[in-house]
Amino acid sequence: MGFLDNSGDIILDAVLTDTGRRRLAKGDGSFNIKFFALGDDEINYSLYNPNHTSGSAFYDLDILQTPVLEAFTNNNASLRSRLVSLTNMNQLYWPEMILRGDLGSTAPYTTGAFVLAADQTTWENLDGGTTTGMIPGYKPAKSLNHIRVEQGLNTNEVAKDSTLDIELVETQYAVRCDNRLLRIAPGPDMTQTTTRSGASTTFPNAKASFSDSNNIDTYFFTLNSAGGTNGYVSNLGADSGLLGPGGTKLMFRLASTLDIQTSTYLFDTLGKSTTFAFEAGTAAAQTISTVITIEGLTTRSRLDIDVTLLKKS
Amino acid sequence: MATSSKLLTPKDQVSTRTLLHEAVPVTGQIISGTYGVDATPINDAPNIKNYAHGMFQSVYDYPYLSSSANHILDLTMGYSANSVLSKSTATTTQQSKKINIYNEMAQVLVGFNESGSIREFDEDGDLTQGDKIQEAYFFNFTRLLTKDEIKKGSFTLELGTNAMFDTPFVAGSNFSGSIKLTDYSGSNGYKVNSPAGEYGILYATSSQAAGNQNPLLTSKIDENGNVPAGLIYYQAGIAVVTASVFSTLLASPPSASFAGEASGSLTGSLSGSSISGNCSFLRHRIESVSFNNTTELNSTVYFCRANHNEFNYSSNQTYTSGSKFVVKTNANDLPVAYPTTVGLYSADNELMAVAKLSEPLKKDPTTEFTLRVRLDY
Repeated sequence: MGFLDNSGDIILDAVLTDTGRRRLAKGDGSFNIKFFALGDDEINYSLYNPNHTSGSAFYDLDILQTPVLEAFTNNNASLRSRLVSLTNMNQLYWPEMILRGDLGSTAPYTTGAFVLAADQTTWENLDGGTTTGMIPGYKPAKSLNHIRVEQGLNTNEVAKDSTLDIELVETQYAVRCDNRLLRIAPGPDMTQTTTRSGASTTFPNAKASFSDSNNIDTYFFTLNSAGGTNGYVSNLGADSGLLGPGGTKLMFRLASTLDIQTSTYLFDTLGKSTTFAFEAGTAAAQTISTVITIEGLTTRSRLDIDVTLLKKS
Repeated sequence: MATSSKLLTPKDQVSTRTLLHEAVPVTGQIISGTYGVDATPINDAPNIKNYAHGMFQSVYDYPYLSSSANHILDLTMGYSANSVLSKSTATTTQQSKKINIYNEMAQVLVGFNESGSIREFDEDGDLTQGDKIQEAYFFNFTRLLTKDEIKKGSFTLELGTNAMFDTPFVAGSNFSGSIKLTDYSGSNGYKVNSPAGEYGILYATSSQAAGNQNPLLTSKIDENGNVPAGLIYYQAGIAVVTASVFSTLLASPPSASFAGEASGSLTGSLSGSSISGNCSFLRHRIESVSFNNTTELNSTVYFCRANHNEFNYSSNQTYTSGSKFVVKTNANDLPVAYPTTVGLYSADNELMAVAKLSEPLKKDPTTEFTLRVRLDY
């Protein structure tokens, strides 16, 4: 993807995304533009220098010289960071999302990624040893391990027991993952439907709201929307791991798809052969590295979580 | 409430239609066979594709077996069942196919008369009277070149008319060696009585001196000194050129005094040679073709208005450090953001289109702007 010519007038280079083209081709009226948003994916705000000796006109000199890439047609690759309108112009702090990794059941594996055991054999070769950061993909409820994301101010400049501005509280999250590899399963506050014995049957895996042409499923989770104790999303309490006031938390597990459980095709295609430290010792395995993206739909904050799918050879 | 998108109302969008023109010059060398020896048989050039059915010949800009080749045009020829040639007792080749080609082109481009018979091509576009073009070459330009239509008044075709096959463009014989056909009246003198859309008359410019071998018929010369010699169908992208362009224009049958393909006369070639053979003969004499094509762009323009109090913050991960804005030191500092992208979303929040600015804009509460995003269909 080239850079746009920025030597003359400001121009706009517009393209339909793959989703836009697909909807246009459908001809069912689903291609109907209703909103616009502004994005600043290329901007690195750390280049903003409010201490520039030449004055305020030079604070953003480096930012304004940022070359801009041509438009991507992949709808997940564009507008990853959006501009936000706030009524409060005096806002100084902005919430962020953190991966809560200091609890035993929410810590990632030593590599920083969560390891998803693709099938029962793989899990049974892990179970009994140290399983921190490992999730049994064939039956997520078999372990308490899960992913926990907390949202709020992660600064001690604001008192932790103060209340987060309602404008900054996330009430809905979008979770995106590769539908060839993963499903989103309920967190520890919920149990999972399964045909296997040993787990109660309250909640099934989450249902994706839509899939795009790049095999990315999008799930939406809303505060208290899933019933049960507190669903996937709940208010953060005193157990927050943030330095400042918290908003909400999102908890879920991961499940492996049937293809991942029963076949090595995707491992052969997308993954690599390696060795892994199983309970009984190091043995051959195959892995696939993927990313789950979590986006807060209020503040548009994002967090990418690394996941490694593991299958014992 | 923090928001990151803004509703586009009907007042924020408008639909427009614009025409985009491109110049399409095609040099005769490509058509006559740049990539092969232009000798007997000249249709052996690797950028010329012949078919077993022999109904037409395709011209590519590169050897057609290459994936880089672009299809430029198809050439074919034919004559009417009413032509003297079709009634000739001389040796004929592919007689029925030539008549079928003529009829196919005529029924598509000229249509049928009140009795249901296929009309013949008319020299001046007045279907009710006047002379007909009964022997014709057909230049079928591909959509790759013509796009939505050929721009009226832009078509030019130059043909070599020297009697000698080896020196078709050398002056000194028919029409001073070459003849130029243009639709110079096309922009304001086109016809609308074709079922295939609008068409114009192709005129041969009168450049030869008196006494040349094949003068234009004086009775046909218009006030500008030109003689009608064919038709150009703009939307169909087809040029119909009378075969008599190589002889006394619009005489039917074409004059027999013209030396055709290597040997033999024009009439002999038209009736006695195959369609492919005639096309090869014609290709050898094409000096250049040029026209402007037209692409019709239907556009919707979205006016994305960012008011002073909107889009002043960013969710960019570099926008904060320790949950604090990096562009603000104090709470009363003005927020600022630098948009580079405009996203257009559907009602269900799916990204339908993306527009990129060529450089970042500065957006703070002291500025407003309207970004005009145009989507072409």
